Amino acid sequence: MKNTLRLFLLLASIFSNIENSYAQSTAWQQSSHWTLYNLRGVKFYKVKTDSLSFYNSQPLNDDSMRDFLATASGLASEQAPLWMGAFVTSCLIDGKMHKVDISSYGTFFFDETAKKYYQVTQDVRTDWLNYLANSAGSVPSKK
Amino acid sequence: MNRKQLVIPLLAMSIMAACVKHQTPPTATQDNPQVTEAKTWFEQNVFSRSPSPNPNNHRATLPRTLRWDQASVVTISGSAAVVVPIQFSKDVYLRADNSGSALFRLSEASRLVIYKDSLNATTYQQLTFIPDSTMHPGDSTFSGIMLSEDWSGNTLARPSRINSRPGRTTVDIVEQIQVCNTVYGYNYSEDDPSDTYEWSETTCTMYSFASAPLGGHSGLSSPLPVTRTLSLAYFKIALVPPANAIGSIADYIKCFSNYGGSDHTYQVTLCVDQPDPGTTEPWGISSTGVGGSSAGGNPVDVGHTFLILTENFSGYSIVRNVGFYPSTNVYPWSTSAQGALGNDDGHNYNISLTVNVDNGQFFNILNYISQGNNAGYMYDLNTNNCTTFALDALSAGNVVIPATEGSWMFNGHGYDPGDLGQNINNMTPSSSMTRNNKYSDHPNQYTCN
Repeated sequence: MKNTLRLFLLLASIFSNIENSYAQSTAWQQSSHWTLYNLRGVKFYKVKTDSLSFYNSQPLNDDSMRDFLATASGLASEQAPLWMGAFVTSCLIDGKMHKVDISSYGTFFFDETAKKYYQVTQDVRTDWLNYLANSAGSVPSKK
Repeated sequence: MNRKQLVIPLLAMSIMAACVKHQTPPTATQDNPQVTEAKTWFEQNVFSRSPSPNPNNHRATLPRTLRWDQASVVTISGSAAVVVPIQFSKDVYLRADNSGSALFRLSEASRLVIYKDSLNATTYQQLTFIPDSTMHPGDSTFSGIMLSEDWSGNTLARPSRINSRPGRTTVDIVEQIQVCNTVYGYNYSEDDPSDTYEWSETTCTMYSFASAPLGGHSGLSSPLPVTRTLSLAYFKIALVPPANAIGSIADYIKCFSNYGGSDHTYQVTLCVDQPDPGTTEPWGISSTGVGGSSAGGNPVDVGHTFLILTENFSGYSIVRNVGFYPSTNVYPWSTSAQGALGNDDGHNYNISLTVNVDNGQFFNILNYISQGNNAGYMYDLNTNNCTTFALDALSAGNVVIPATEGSWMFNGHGYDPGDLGQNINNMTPSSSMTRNNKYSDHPNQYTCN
């Protein structure tokens, strides 16, 4: 009986994780209007979502961002990595604007609106960071 | 890079590999007294006395043995030289920027040569031959780059091109030459494919024509007889670029040119993104929950330090941003990871210091930076973080910035953006320095072929 219960919990956990991953991936696949901001030296986490419009920005390619995020998975917030700077972006999911801070190194990012951490897989890291860095360098700070 | 991605092509590679012996190696002469004498000399004078391997040379850190049983004797400039194949313990493959898509087994491309120099003293070099894309299976003549190193992996002479055109990362200057070499390698074990991994080495070194004449070092005037002992197998696979944001630092900085005089001016800007601008605080605290919970109040931001490298000439500016990062996520309790260089042209900062330097200083700084992607060159939050790296790079160019070490949780301590920012704010800049307390855009500029 004990073993059966363990098996049930294990399977439930596996299905839960699969469902969560699927849900997360699905949510990002429905994202659109990706935008990258130049915060002019302001700390990325001190700018609120509704203040982003005060900063200069440029659109990111939605297809590219959805491709990068195709394998995104959740990251326990208790295990949040250290930040060394971020690309500040936003997107629309189900009509709601999400501010998304993307780490300038590694593979993690933070959805400030949902207050959830995620990470992309290591194999897309290079293209992901290069795409964002190249885009960020071309966003002027003067509005 | 994902290891699994390597396994499939490497497995395919092991099946598809066509071993093409383009030369018949000289007969092994293990019992030759010259080989015996060379072996004794090497073991007594080099093997037992060599210092630790050069940590920037991944090949030098790999276990290897000398195949004295396959040694051969060739004639170089009228004198006998003993050539000994070097066997690396694992299958290690490598290529250079101009190798095209071919890979070569390191063991088949490496030779130890023991010979008499012009003063009739016994000496040696470890040579690595990397064919270029113009050399094809069956060619009788080697064409490519020859690396000349000691047993510890330290460069002895500038890389020589043998029947080969210059690589795209070579910058020729009248008095000096800077050569950047990136060698990509793959360690692959048939017994344990999951133990496969990728590495790369980039070394940039300034060579003087006066001290290192074209063609080699210390009397090895012609390496061609050594190339005839090679038996290279060609492997063709689809290469996956190295997993770091600046894939090839040599390529990233190739537009810079090394000119003395006043026509070309050089600047390095040290940019600091302090966790809490205007304070020495080594950790930024978020009140909005970025750090880990909706309650906030978590240490999240350790800030960042990076460099902007600028060359000005004839109204043009070449600008490159570069910062040193861990290649994977790091945590307060797990502070070390393989290092990786990143393009920081969109990165924020709140204080900066621009230093005018000469061409020599500038290229010494570039040379230091070039090691940032090397396999085994580690990022560590305490001992070799972005701030340490930037300060050490400047120091390599004889630019010394006063820096204070800070301390933080988990007994962490070292250089940090918080303290460095305040150091810059409080210092009295010299006449060659300009301090700026405001952010301004700093995009990369200028492209070249």
